[in-house]
Amino acid sequence: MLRCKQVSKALAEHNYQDLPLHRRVAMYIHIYLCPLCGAYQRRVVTLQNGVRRYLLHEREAPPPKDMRLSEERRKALKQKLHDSSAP
Amino acid sequence: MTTAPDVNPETWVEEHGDYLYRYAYVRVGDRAKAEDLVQETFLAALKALGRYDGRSKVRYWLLGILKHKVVDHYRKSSRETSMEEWSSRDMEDSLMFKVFGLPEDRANSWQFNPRRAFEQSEFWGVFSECLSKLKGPMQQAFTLRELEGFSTEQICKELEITANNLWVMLHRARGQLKECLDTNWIKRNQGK
Repeated sequence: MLRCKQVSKALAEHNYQDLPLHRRVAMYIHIYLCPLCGAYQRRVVTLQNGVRRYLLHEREAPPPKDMRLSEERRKALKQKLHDSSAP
Repeated sequence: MTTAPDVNPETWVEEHGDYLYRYAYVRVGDRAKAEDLVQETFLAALKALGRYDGRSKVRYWLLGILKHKVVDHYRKSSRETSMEEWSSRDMEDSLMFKVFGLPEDRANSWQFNPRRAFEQSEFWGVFSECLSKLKGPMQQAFTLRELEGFSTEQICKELEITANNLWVMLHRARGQLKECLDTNWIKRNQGK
């Protein structure tokens, strides 16, 4: 049986989904049974899953309006690229 | 034989600027700094244009350069900050951490329904905003570990911290992320 500290360390060093199946099974059992750390570790795994899903979203979905370059900076960048790439 | 790809840097701002900006903003949490990093990326890419072989899309190539810029920024700011102070000796010295590797403060229940949240596009706006709001070194530790997949050894080397410091910072970052999601997603969606 895994100990809380081993689970905690493993989740600080790895993403749960990247662990080999036998380690995931052992951790799953611990996380779902342990009254001391189970709820916390389940939250860690949920946040890790959230990050994984977010990275897929970040790769494909256009940024929301409040996470875009300011107009001022956009113009300045265009000018800089124009000047720097001119022959 | 690969031929030089046809790339027009003058279209980069319109086509990739916002994607690069979001990437940087989520990881540094500061608008001006994120814009500076995007600019540095474009200029570095211009210089390296001759080495771009077209095997990956221009955006992914630019993101690869930006990732290095973000790590450089972390490295510089970690030298200017007392990482020891942020890593919280209190937690490292606590019995709960020493024996179980856990933070003392880890409220048990969490009214978060990931399945429902992950299906909604607005959730990802909140999630990215919460990532951008992680504080200083906690943001650096969490980003390198969870978003960029760096190993413990690499992170300790980049941020000049111990493995225990990193462990504590990750606990604190998770606490901050949970708190932000509680305030900006869970409470707002209660009763819906």
